[in-house]
Amino acid sequence: MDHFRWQRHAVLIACLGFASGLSAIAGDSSTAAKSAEPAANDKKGIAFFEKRIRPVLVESCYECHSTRDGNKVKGGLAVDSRDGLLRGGESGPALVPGSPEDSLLIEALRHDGLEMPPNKQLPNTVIADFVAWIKMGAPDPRKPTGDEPVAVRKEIDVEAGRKFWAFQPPRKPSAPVVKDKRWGSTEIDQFILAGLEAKGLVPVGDADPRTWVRRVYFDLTGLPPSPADIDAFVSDHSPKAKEALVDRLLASPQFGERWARHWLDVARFAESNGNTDNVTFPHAWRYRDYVIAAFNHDKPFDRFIKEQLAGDLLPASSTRQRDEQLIATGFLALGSKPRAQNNPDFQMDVVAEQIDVATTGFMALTVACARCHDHKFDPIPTREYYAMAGLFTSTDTLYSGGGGQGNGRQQNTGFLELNGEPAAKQARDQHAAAITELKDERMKLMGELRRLGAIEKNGKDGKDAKKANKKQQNGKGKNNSDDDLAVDVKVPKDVTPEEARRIKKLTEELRHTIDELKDRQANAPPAAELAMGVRDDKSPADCRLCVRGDSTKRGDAVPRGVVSVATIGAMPKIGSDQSGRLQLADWIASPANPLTARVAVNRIWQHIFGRGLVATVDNFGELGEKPSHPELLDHLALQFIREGWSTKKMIRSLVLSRTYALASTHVDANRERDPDNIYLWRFAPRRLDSDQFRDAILATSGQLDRDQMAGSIVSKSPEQVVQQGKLSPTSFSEAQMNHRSIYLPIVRNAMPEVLELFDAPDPSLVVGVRDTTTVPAQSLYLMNSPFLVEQSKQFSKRLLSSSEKTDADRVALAFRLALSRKPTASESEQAVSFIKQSTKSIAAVEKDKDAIQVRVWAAFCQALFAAAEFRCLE
Amino acid sequence: MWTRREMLQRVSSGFGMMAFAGLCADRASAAYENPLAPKKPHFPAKAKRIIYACMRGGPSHVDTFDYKPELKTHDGKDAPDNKGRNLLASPFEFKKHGESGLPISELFPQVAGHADQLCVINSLWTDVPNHPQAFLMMHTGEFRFARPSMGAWSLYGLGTENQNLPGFVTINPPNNLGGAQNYSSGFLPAIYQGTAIGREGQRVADTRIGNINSKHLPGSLQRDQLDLVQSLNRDLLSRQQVNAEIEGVIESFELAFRMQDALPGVLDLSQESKSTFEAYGIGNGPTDNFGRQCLMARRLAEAGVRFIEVTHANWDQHNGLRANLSKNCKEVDQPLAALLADLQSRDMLKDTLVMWGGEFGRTPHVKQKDGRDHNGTAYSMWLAGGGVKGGLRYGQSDQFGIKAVEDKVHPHDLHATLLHSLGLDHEQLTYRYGGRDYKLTGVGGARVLKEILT
Repeated sequence: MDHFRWQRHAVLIACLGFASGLSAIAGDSSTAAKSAEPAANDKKGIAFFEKRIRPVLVESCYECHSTRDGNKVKGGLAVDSRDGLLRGGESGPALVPGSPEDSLLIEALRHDGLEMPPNKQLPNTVIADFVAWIKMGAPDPRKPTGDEPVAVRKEIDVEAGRKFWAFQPPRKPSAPVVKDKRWGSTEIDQFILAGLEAKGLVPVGDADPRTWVRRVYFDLTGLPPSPADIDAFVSDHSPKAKEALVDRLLASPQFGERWARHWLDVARFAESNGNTDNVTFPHAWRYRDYVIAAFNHDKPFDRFIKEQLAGDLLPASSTRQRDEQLIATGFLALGSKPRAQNNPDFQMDVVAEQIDVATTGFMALTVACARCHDHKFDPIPTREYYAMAGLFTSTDTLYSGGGGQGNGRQQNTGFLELNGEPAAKQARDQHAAAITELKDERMKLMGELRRLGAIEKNGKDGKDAKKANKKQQNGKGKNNSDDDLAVDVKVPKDVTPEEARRIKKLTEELRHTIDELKDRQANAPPAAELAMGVRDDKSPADCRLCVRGDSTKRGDAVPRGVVSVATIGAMPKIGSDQSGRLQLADWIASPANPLTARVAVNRIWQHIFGRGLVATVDNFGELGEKPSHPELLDHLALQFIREGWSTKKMIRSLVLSRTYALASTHVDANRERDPDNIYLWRFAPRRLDSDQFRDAILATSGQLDRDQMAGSIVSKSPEQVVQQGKLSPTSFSEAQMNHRSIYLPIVRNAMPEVLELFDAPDPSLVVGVRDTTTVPAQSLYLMNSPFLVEQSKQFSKRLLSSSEKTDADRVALAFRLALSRKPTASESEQAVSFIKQSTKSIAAVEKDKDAIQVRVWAAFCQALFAAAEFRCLE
Repeated sequence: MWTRREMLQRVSSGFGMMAFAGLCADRASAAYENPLAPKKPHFPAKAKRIIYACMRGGPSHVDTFDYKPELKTHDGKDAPDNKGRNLLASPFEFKKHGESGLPISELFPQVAGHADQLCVINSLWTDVPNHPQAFLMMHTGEFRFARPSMGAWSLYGLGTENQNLPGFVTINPPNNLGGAQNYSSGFLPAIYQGTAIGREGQRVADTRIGNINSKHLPGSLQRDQLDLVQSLNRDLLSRQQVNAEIEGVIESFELAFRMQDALPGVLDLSQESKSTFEAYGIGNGPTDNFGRQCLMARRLAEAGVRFIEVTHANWDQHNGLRANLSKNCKEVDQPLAALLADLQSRDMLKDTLVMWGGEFGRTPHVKQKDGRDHNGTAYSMWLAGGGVKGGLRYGQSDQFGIKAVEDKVHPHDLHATLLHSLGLDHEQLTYRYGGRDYKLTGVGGARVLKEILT
């Protein structure tokens, strides 16, 4: 039987996976105990306890909450002594003498949140007895049994926690000592070799140039090299050939498209909300493009972090830069949100998601685990979670224009307005200023005319004006309100001629003003473009702690701040008029943060070598893996900082190492010692991911559109709920386009089929390491999907229209295009015989000679696409 | 199940097969592990598979399976704690059925014939009485975050019995209310996600399964093509010597090739007799669509699919209760009864757990005279077969069916119970993701309803 059935919506939250929540209440139970001490000796009270309370406890609670006979109590709570009740269990003290309403025991008996006893609520009269008893001060003569569970409410020791490797600042390691002085020229190689030698491992030989060039193309650009690219590299014998190629690839626009995709996985980028109300995010693509540009321009990674967390708060030297920084904050707004309706936790759910993506993404620290209780494994107290929560509750998250309201009770938060091109911004500003001026003028003129009695009073009467205004909006009626562009001016009968002249003059001026206003409004410049993102709330405030994660049960307010265990030196100071996001950004993107640079280089390392130096790239905490090469990790982190947080420089130094140039050859002796290749005795073969795979097919068939896509399929329709019959999920999941995969619509719960089947991550989750699954549905896709069939046909046409005329030559070209190598003699033989065989099969059903050719070669091309080698990077 | 070696022996011989066979003989120990291979349960299972007949929209419990005589005597009176709303007696008559005397409304005359096999739970409750949240809660045990569905958890725990078919199939699932999230694998490996056949609103008779049609290649050309692919794969494997992934690819192509043959066959109802069609109400207007779903479910169950879900939409009777609820029940009653009878006659009911119900119930009190609103505090479902006690009415809602009061059952409890009947301990069936161990039943604890199990 389970015992802690809390109010589910409070607990299901971020703590998931743990059976209980440590109380985060800062209350001190010993104070309560002292104040209630006299009650323990209260005779009348004790009589009440013996008669009404003890029998119930024995009957209904002891089975699970008694330490007698050495039982292990459930939830850490023993109710068989007064001390046990006061100390409480994992949820905190069970009772507060004198305050039944603050006592968890009463809450549990009422099945209000907690439910005790589970499933069988005690009669109301019994609960009333407990209330009365606690009001008395909970008199209770029972003595401690001596078997009470100890230290249930383990205090987190942050200072001790700092000793953990990940919270220590990276240290400059001493140069590694290696026996083989000739192997590997870079510092990275020295560290790797030292590790290999220490484990008795011998690195394999180097990969041949063709293999290396295919590897580096896919890793840096996500695309295969063309046969000409390969030939050019192989025939370039200059000592700088590798460097030249790497520099060229790093400078290509395809580099940003590839590396942005890695970050978008972590940033759980998507173009719809998912969850219960799958409203589209038509402006999300701007963030995607921002990330692509950031990688292409090698934006310093610390700057990249700051812009995503607090771009709205950073100074900008141009409107363009300002826009870019606003778009960057989309990072915080793109998460999947639950429905707000009937959800008192809504704001805190959004905040939890923001804390999760920020701390996991940048620091590989699972701070969100501390929402309901102190972190179970890492030294992060719940109070510090709420210190961070305050940064985000003091932030407005703008993610919706209310387009889902028809169905989804979507909140209308509005969006950030972008400036756009300087000229456009200037035009909008001028327009706005002119309109304001004209409206002021009109108001002034109308005021005077009213005073002269030339305008009916309904212009002044708020109610009438409103009504009339509404009528007018509906296209009916007109009125004389200040917003109206058609004003009825009449010269009253009893005015002096002078007044009449005055009225006439004013009327003319008014008509003129109104005409100009109309004209201006009709020729308004285009409205500002919009972006998802955040801005500081007008009244920043600390967040009150949610007891066990329940937003309806609040503790005290926790001063805004950050996680202390990851802070070296002073904690950031947050002004009372600031959200503190800027300080958060500075704190994370700081060379002094022990995690940030390490986490960033580890992510880069993983994408180059297939496995992070810390394999759990999203978790550097206690439950994460320890670094395989701690000194190398520190070396790289410091190098990264020293080189201005340059992603390109880091990648360059990794791919130009000898370690990266190793062959994927298998060596039994090495494999026995290090089957997972943790010490990098070879280049472990790996699978292309879904994006590389699809892009490679298009590149091979000759159909790839290499242009950057303007907007997205999602941005072509206004914000609305994705649903059958309207904006159907299949319009995204089956979207056909030949742009690179990063431009495919990433709609939650309607992912493009090819991405979903080949292990693209669920875009609602922060994912640093993609799965690699092998499932029959993938094989079916390769065998029968319309995309493969069509691209095979295109590939076939490409071969047939090439200058190669014999079957063998076409086969050779196909191999070079698809696999970056020539076929072996036996492969060529097999392929040619397959061509002959299938010509017979196809000719039986197809008469047209050209069509037969296309279909025959398409069958062969499809086999190349389907072959494991096509997806394999050696 | 096949061992890997048997599997590879079945691979039709192609280029390089001999070399490959020699190679794998001494490499077999480093084999790729098929994540769908049947796994041992934690303890002996009563049920091998589950069929969930999902009634999307929240069927009214007080008009179907939760008999409330006092509702009749209080018809039109103020609802307790709900001023301005009047209780509405069920317009439908209840009668006792079977030896157990289980009360079932006249809306389910045929299902009532199986009363002694049904375990009706009258004390369900859910957290939020909105469709999307409750629907996700029912399917994934969570509604705030994307989590694996119960079908995915079942596959993760047990693997599948038929490697030629997907292990988790959902027929005509809705696109809204979380859509694919309701049958997704979440953070579990993608292989455990449900295969959807059709979408809500499509006729089952017209549905197609993705990428199963190989018409672009005539005759045996696809096999020839596959032989070429597999030859290339074996060459790669022999070059790399050890690569479990490539072994997996080779196996999965063969599986897919067989699945391509097997799945349409299983879903092809034309192989069924005329009398079976009649029993399920196929060919007969109102029952045709759901009848097809139920028959498909039986065929999939028979073929060894682990978790099958069929869906009937639109149980959201805010108004038109009398007409629309009657219509819905008419559409599902006969097919459900036929499914139970069919499973029984094939001796499969004993290890197939059939479950009926929606995401919540409906209020016994009303605003309009002919409609009921969402009720998350009490609703009913029934289970049958697979180690569940028949003729049992478990748990109670209050006198009017407003709130569950006795032996309350949360979806997490139901999930714990379903897993239990599959031989899985919901506390042990965990998956580590993001540094934490997750389970279907969340963190609040859940209770296996041992009282309803045989």
